Amino acid sequence: MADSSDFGPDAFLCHQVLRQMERASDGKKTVYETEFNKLCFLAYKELEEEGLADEVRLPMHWYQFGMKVWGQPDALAVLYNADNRGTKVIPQTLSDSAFSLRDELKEAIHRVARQLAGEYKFTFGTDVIVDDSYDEYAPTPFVKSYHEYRRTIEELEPGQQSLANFVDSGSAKGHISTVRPHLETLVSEYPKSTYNEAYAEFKQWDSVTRQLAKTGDVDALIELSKAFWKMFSRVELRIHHNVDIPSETVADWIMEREQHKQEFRSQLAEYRQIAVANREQTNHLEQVSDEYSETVRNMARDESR
Amino acid sequence: MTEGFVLDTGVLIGVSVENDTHHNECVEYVVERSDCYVTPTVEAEFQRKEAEIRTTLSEEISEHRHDVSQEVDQEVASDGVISWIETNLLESVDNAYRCLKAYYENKRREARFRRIDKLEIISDLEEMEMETWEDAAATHGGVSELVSNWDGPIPSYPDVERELLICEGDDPVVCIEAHHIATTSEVTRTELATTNPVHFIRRVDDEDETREENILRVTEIDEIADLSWDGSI
Repeated sequence: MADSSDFGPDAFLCHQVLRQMERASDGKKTVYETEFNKLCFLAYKELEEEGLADEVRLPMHWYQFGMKVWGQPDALAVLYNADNRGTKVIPQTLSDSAFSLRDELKEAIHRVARQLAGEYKFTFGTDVIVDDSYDEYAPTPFVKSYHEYRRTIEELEPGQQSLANFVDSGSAKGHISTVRPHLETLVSEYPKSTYNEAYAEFKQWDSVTRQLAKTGDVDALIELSKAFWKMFSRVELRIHHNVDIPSETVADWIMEREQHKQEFRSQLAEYRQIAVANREQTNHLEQVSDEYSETVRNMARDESR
Repeated sequence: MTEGFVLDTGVLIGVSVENDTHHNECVEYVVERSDCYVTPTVEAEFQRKEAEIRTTLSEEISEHRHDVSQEVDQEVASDGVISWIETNLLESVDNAYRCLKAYYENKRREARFRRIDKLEIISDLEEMEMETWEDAAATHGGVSELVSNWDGPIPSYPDVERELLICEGDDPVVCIEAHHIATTSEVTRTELATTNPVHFIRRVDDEDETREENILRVTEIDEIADLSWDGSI
């Protein structure tokens, strides 16, 4: 455990967010990791508006479900405890005097933490706070739209496919009419110059996702969306959208990019196989078979000898 | 007499990726012969090339679909809209250009007698992206059912290698591997099937003999089958 004199404004913010939630909910509310991250981030944004963020210097980066606090829990005066629902975050038992920061800042953090505790003390689960932080603070329209896409597919009913097939007298429409508008938005909003590292993976993901939607494979859609976002968070989001992360850590993340892309590509290949195996046969390439096959032969020749 | 047929990468691509008359010829060749072998070098090259071709084509079509989706405002893809796409949105397409050009030519003809929506084109392109991943030999159980990988160890044959004229890329290794299969007791007659007559069959520059004469002279391979596509049907 860190020496008490080490605790600065960043630890005080994390500690207060939890202490004030305990107080506001009479100890009834358990804060899990995702909510803890979002509370800290929302508190930080409040303080930023008051011009105090530079003094707090809480390291954070965007990750799968929004901003995430970076660092060892005991350096931030909190403890992580896993239970059957997830990772609980609880404040270390410390008095205010264990933290060294000027009074005015202390009061501002107190106030912001109290305010957030009042707002979120009766919300259970993390959906509301995750939605709130995406709505207000998503770093690019693409990230916000991806969140909306994720919400949409989580609400799709697996059984809908067979109904659509029935109504449509045999043609497999699956969920494509629900999913495609979201994907079209993502395609138009994808900032190629910012997120250029994962662009090829995005294209392949979009392609396989559309086919899974056509076949109505909701489980695969959801799993693939999670795998994509995990890769995307590691390859792009945490590198482009972070505050006060040490530069050597960012350099490590940049080095790890290829490995994460590789891992995703092999997951994607499995989903693609499922999509190809279950799809209704189409023959667009057969209709242009001379041009297609000649192209394939030229490519096979070119890139070899 | 047991015959062994050793396939080069081009034949495997013909079986699994192409879908024209040449594909039919390659499929016919392997379907009619039960002992078709794929050597380790060919297997590795085939896997790499197949993945690269499929990935490149599907990504190019996908990128083109993104362009159509963003650049075309009209809901109906009339004859005029389709020719606008051909003129303005195919410029950036590299490998998939000819397929897409042919696809749009067909669509333009169709547009004269029925309404074609932009959405139909988007959906067609989505499907094409998936078609690039299909095993063209699926009706025969897939390429893996039609051929066997040669699993045993393959020693080096420095004397043979020294005399081989073929020198391009992995081609000499493929010849050595086919030679090894020819020397084993499992086969009494060995044929090497290739789609690359320039490297494996014809005379190159001022070499003293044709590549085919050279390979048949210095290795135990008995015959070289030319499965290249000359464009005639």
